[in-house]
Order: sequence, then structure tokens, then C-alpha cells
Amino acid sequence: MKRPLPGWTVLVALLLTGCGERSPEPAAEVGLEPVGADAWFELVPTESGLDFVHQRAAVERFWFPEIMSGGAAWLDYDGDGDLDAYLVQGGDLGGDGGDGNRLYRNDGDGRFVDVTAVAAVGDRGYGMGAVVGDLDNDGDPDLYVTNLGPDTLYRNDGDGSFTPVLLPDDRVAWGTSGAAWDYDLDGDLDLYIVNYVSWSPETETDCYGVGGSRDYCHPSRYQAPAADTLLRNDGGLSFTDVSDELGLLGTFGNGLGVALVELTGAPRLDVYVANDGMPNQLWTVQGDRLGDVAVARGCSVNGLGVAEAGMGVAQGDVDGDGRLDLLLTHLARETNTLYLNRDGVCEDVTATSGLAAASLPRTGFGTALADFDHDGALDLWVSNGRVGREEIGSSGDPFAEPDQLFRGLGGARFEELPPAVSGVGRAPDNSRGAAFGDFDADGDTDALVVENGGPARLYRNRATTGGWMQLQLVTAAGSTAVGARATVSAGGSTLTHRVQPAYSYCSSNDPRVHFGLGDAASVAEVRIRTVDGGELSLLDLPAERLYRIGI
Amino acid sequence: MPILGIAGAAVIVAALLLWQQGWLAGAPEVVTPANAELLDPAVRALVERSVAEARQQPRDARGHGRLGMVYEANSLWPEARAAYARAAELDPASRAWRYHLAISTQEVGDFATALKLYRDLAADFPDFAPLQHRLGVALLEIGELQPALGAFERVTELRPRDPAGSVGAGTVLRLLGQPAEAAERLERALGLDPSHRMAHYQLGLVYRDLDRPQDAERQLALGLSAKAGFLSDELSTEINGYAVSLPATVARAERLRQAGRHREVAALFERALESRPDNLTLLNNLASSYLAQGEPERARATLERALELGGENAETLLNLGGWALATGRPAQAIEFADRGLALDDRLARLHGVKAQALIRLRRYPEATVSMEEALRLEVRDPALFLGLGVLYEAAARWSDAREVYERALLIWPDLVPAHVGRCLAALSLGDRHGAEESFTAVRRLAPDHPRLDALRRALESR
Repeated sequence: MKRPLPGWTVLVALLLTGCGERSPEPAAEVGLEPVGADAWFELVPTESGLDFVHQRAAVERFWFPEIMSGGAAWLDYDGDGDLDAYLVQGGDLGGDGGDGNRLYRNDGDGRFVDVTAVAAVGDRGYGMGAVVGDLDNDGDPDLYVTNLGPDTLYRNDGDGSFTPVLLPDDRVAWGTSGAAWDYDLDGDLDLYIVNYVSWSPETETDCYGVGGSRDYCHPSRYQAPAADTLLRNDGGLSFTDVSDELGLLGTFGNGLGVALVELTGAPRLDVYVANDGMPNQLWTVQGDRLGDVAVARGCSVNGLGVAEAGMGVAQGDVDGDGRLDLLLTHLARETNTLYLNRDGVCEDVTATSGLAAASLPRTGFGTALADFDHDGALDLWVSNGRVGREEIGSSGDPFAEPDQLFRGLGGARFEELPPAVSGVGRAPDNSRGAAFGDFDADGDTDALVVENGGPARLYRNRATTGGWMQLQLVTAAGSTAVGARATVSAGGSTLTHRVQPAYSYCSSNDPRVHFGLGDAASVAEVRIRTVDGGELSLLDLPAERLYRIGI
Repeated sequence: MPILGIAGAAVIVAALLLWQQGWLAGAPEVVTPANAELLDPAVRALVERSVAEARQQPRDARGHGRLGMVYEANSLWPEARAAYARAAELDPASRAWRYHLAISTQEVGDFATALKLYRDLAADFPDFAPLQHRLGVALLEIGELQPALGAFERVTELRPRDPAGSVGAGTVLRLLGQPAEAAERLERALGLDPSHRMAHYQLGLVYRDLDRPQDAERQLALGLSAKAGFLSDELSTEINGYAVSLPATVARAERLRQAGRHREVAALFERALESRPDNLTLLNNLASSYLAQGEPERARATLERALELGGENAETLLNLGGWALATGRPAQAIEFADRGLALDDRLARLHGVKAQALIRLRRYPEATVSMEEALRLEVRDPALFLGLGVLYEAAARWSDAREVYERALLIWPDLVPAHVGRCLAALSLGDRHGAEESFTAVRRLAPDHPRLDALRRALESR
């Protein structure tokens, strides 16, 4: 039985219509495979102002954190309706550190302006990732930065600047990805922070790769997986570390990726953690504790029982059955793994998905299941980069690999698009985090990719051929309604998403949900369900719109 | 005649020289690694030797093939692929070169070509079991289930005593929606190798399909973190012998260690140290193997050398703690552990060593704290669970003891000491049903367990 939402909360406001202006063709790049005029993505030139360069220390030292760093976030920090970019910096771990993180304000006209100093968010810790969420329920997004060492929480002051907030003293670890998640349904967002390895310069050790040449270590070499952290939001931006109390210390691995996921259709989302070379966890609330149900639900290890090197995670309904499926990116010689959701139990269908052979040679990190071309089927983006040398004779960055774009064919099948068609992966880079969102407000999903030790790349999507709809679901306080479920019926198809900015690798994404509608000019019905079970239905909405809906 | 003879000889010599040059010119080039200076010294020496040998007989497939094996053994896959390609070109009748060409082609990421090579080779050598297994795995990976099943069935025919074929066939049959047939194959595989994790995991999935949730849960837990593996072929032993790089040495030593062959482990590290006398990783590994084979004083000498070279580091202090325990010096073990923990207090094994030393000194409350800390940091070591369980038992903390044993059993459902401990804890807590459940498990898993009679008597007296 549907529980109607209070009338005052149902506010539908049309914020934006139509498509944005197309940018001119980029200048030809020497030495790259030519990109077709109708390629799905084009690189936005750094003249746009987004000139972030991730720093990695000299390769010869091979300190493990250096090869893992690089995250990004999309957030509308200034409330002007467009997505601003936050990029997380690495640096010289044993030396002077890096130049600090950067916040770029999106001026909405294709220009980005570095506002780090004014906003005071240039954290200079050894950065890994970023988590975005309105932690103080004041209607603007706050920012949590994961570091090797103490993390940093920034409160958004609502005037274009941020203020650092004290965190529990013992929160010192190698944090990687994170998610803002109201696990206790008390109305404020708590923080789930994934931790990787208990590492320090003193525990670093010599490792060797091909031909016995020096290389980065595998995490198993340290035998020191780190338990994750759950920070309960006590209000007023005061947090308590409840990891032990809730049972997180009972099982853990070398954690890298995280996503808030729905497997059973329950209103409250669960947390899925991708571990590197160890079984993954699926944390679900069980009374006053969290329980790891990954083994029971078939998403702890792949279909052969092998614990793979989990890096990035994404969720989406790839077979159109209304259930949300899982995609994990992995190390080379392992496939990226697609788990279909069969009534709450995962089934590894990688073999029949078309993803296996294409992913075996690559090490995947940032990822998204999104309908980039608006044909109604989810496509797949995978950002790649090695963590060890594959050969010793190569010139250039020995860790670079091309990113990949797979077109969704429906029915949980994909085909890799060649770089000339996708516009992605035309030159190898050492990609890590990737954040996805509609930065140019033209209705489609763009991508921001961080290269470990190189310039960030912003890809503008120009693939769209069909209709679209975006929903910005917000609470009464104006915060993103994390966990809300939106189902859209259009043109005979039903599409489902949850509001969950936390996915990919060390990144936070567009908080709005996005639907590709194919040929449908309108949406017959939008059904929305909140995390506390409230439901709302909207009928006959025109396509090509962003709807802001208070729930 | 003499003039003619000299001229004739000169003509012959000239012809021979020309022929040799032409022969050499037509010979395939010997594959050398780029940036050889980056190679591990032992690998570089072996590569240089093998390259020189191949150059002496450039038309001999064996020289190129041997070089390919040297490259393969040390993960130099692009070079291995090129060298095997030359060997296969010179000796196309050899299945070994073609097989390893396919493997190295797959390793460099060219899956489509590798699959074609496997298929071509399978057509020419249908009785080659390692190839059929590789082919089956490759086909399974891309969802070609019926051909994969055929390949795995062939493996079973060719190697009926090896579980690999049955595991592969069972996996495919499950995906084909034939769970009963899959269960039969997987149970057969476990009959051949009861510790085959992949078979356990697959059987768990099959039991789930067959709506046997309890059996499924147990099998899934037994199969968690399975490892993929391939059948060895006629080159495998020789290739292993060429694995002289440090990671290859460590990996080989680890396999030997797991098999309890500690003397061979020590010998491996001793040899490796000859070319890298200052390597801390090797010194610590060598010391650890000396400890495992009961030679603590040799371990101590090796660790002293590690301290001289690298100063205080957690790994060396951990091993020194192990040495102190092995030689009956628990107080010293605590001192070493504390020094290591001052460097990094998140190393579970250091807490574990300290806990063991404290137990020897009968300082149980402190030992409990250390063991709890070790278990907080490392949740996949059964010894830590059991150690903490015993400490809780000693303190009559029966509820905590039962909890820790139950946590262990979630990960290792067949861990007999945990069932024994849980049985005792349940008895002490007055939980007869729980105690009976654990007792039944012990009787099933270890019918000759020395504590079985005592447990039975305790149960009967309640």
C-alpha cells in the first residue's frame, strides 16, 4: 500500500530545458587515432580552465600509495545549478607533498575557474578521494576528503567558502572511496569510509615485477588489510566512530571501491565494498549492527569463487528487469565482472556479457553504468591504468592504458566501441578515479577522469540521439535525497535508478538521476520511493527536462 | 692439379661462407629484452647466457624456445611471445612451442589471437590435456559454453584422476541450467581432491540452485577465495627452474612452504642471496624458513645481518620475536614485538607474537588484549581465532569464547578446533542444543578426534 507523501513536499519545478550549445571541434592532436565527427565524446581543452594535473612522485621509489591516488567529485557547491569540479591531489609522499586539491567553479558558459583559495578547500594531505553530501542538512553539499593519513571534512558555509571540521581523533588510515549514507535513518547522512591497507613508509618493502625489475607491491605483500570506518553523524557536524560497535571490524579486506546499492529492493540502501584481492563485503543493517551478507548474496567473489582485485564499482539495471545489477572493475588478467541481480542474489554473467575478453588485458578503476547515448540501454565506461609494469621496454608511462567505452545492447550485453567511435581511449593514460555528471547542462552524462601523474581529462558527451529526463530529488531541507528510488515508464520501457552519488573509484558523482528515453517524447509515469517507504507518482511529464522534486 | 685444387678449395670455402651468411641471414633474429639493465641481476645473467646459446644455433628451435621459457619464467611476456613464435616457426610440429606461444599471447592481452592458437592446436593435438583445459577456461570466460564443456570433458577423459576436468564441466553444466549433472561432476571432483576450493564454491552455487541452502552455505564458505590454476605440461618443470627473479623465487618458496618443504625453501633463499646479499626481504624470508625447520640460531644470525643492513624494521623484529619464542625467551619476544609495534602498531602478526609470549608467561589478561588486537587487524587467520577462544575459555568468558568460535566457523565451516571450542562453550552456557550441534560436526569431520569421548561424556552428564 502506498503511503502518500505530505502534500507540501511535492514540489516539481522545471529548472532547465533543451540541450546546451555544442562546442566547436577540438584541434587535431598529432599522433592520435582520428576521432570521428560523430564520436560519442570529445575532450574539453584545458583552455576551459580545468587545468588540474595530478602529481605522482618519482617512479623509482615505488611507495605503494603513489600508484593508487586520484579521485574527483562533481558538486554544485555554490548552488547555481551547475556542477563544479573537485579534484584530489597526490604529490611527493616522501618529499614536499603536492600542490593540494583543487575546486573549479563551473561558470556555465564552458569555463571553469579555480576557486580553491577563496573556497579554502585546498587540502594538502596525500589525497585519494572525495565524498559529497549535505552532512549538516542545510541545503548545500559538504565535502569529505579521504587521504593517506588524516582525512579532512569541509563544511560548506553557503557563501562560496568552506570551513574544516574536526573529525574523531582516531580516524587516521589510508582512506580511499567513501559514501554518505543514512544507515540509521535518523535523517542525517553518516559517512562510510573505505580503508585500504595499513601502510606507512616504515612498512614499505621492496617489490619486483617483470624480469625482477623494481615495481609497486601487490597489497597482499603487506598483509595488512585495513578495516573500514563508519562515522555516525550525531548532528551539528559532530561524528562518532561506530565501526567497532556496529561490527565492521569483524570482516574486512583491502578496500578500494564503494557504492550504495540495492539488491533486495528494500527502501534502505546497503553498502557494497570492493576489496583488492580479497572477498568483497555487502553491509546491510541488521538490527543495531551491520552484517556482511556478500557470500550469501553471491557478490563476495566471482562466479568461480575467486576473490578478484576490486577497484571500482557501479550499479544499474543492465537487463531492464527493474532490479539493479553490479559491475566491478579489476586488475589485468581478471575480467571486469558483471553480476546480474536475480531476486537479490548475484549471478556472475560476465562470460555472456561481451565484457570478458575486452577487459582481461586492462586494469580498471573508475567506472559508470550510464545511458550515454540515450537509447534506453545502460552503457559502460571503464577508466584503466596499470599498477605494475607489464613490460620493461616501453617508452612513456609504463602504467598507461587506454580507457574503454562499451555500448549497452540491452539484455546485459555490451560491445566495446573503437576509440574513433567512442572518442575515449585514443591515447593510453594512467587513469584512476572518474566522476560522471552533466557538467554542461545539456541533459547527457559527461565524464571527468583523473590521471595518476598527469592532467585530468574532461570529456563532453555528444552521443545523444534519443530523449532524456533528469530528476533532482531533494529533501525538505533541499539536500539530495540519497537512496530515493526513481522508476520511469516511457515508450513501453521501465527504467530504474537510485539516488546514489557514491560509485566509481574514489569519486562522487552527479547527484541527479538520469534516464535515456530513446524515441519517447514524454514519460508516462515517474514513481518515486523514499528510503523510509514514502511513495509518489507523477504522470505524463515531457521529456528533455530536468525536474527538481521535493520529497 | 694443385693449382686447380687450391682454387677449387677456395671456391668451396667461399661458397660455404656465402652459404653460411645466407643461412644466417635467413635465420630468425634472437629476441633480446629492451632495457636489459633494469632486469634483476640473476635474470639478466640467465637471459644473456640463453641469448648467446640461441645465437650459436639460430636455426635451432630449441634455443629460441629455451629463451622463451626463460622469459616466461620471469614474466617477460612480450619477449616470451616473440621467442616462442620463432621456435614455433622453426619447428611447427612441436606442440610445446605453439602452446606456450598461445599462453604468452594471452598474457600480453591478445585474447582473440590466443584463442585461435588454442583452437588450432587442439585440432592438431586433441589429446593434449593441458591445452584442452586452457581452451575450456578461455571459452568459459567468453561464454562459449558448449565448446567449453567439450574441452573439459576431454580433459576428464585424458586425465581421469585429475579434478580439473570435472570442475570445469560442473561449472559449465551449472551455467547451462543442469544443476543435477553439475553436482555429480563437482562431487566427483571433490572425491579426487577434497580441498579443491573452486569445486566447493561451484557446488555451493549448484546446491543453491537445487534449493539446498544449508549445504550451499557450507560449500560456499569452503570455496571462498578459490585460486584459478592450470595443468602442467612437458615444459612446466623446466620453466620453473628458470624462475630466478626475486618475485619468482618468493612465489616458488611460498608454494614449497605451504607444502611444508622448509629445507628447500631455505636453500632457495640461500641461493637467491648469493646475488643479492643485502636484500632485506630475502634475509627475513630465509630467517623465517630457518625458524620453521627448527634452526633458530641460524635464523638469529640471519636476522642480525638484516638489522645491520636495514636497522629496525617491523618484519625483522617480528622474526626476532619468533626466534625468541622458539628458543624459550618470551620476555625477549615481548621486547621485540613492542619495538616492532612502535614502528607500526597495525601489524597483526606482531600483536600475535606478543600474545603468544604473554601466554607463555601466564599473563593471560594482557595476552587477551594483544590477541584481540591481532584479531581486530587480521580476520583471516584461524590461529588467532583459536588462540583468543582458548584465552576466553581460561577466563571462563564462555559467551565471548562461543562468539569467537562462531565467527571462525563462518569463515572456515570445517575448522574442527573451533567446533570443539564451541561445544565446550555451549556446554558451559547450558546450551545443550548448540553443544550437540558442534559435537555432531566434530564427529563428522574428525571421527578420531582425541577429545571426542570427553565431549560425549560431558554431553551425557548434562
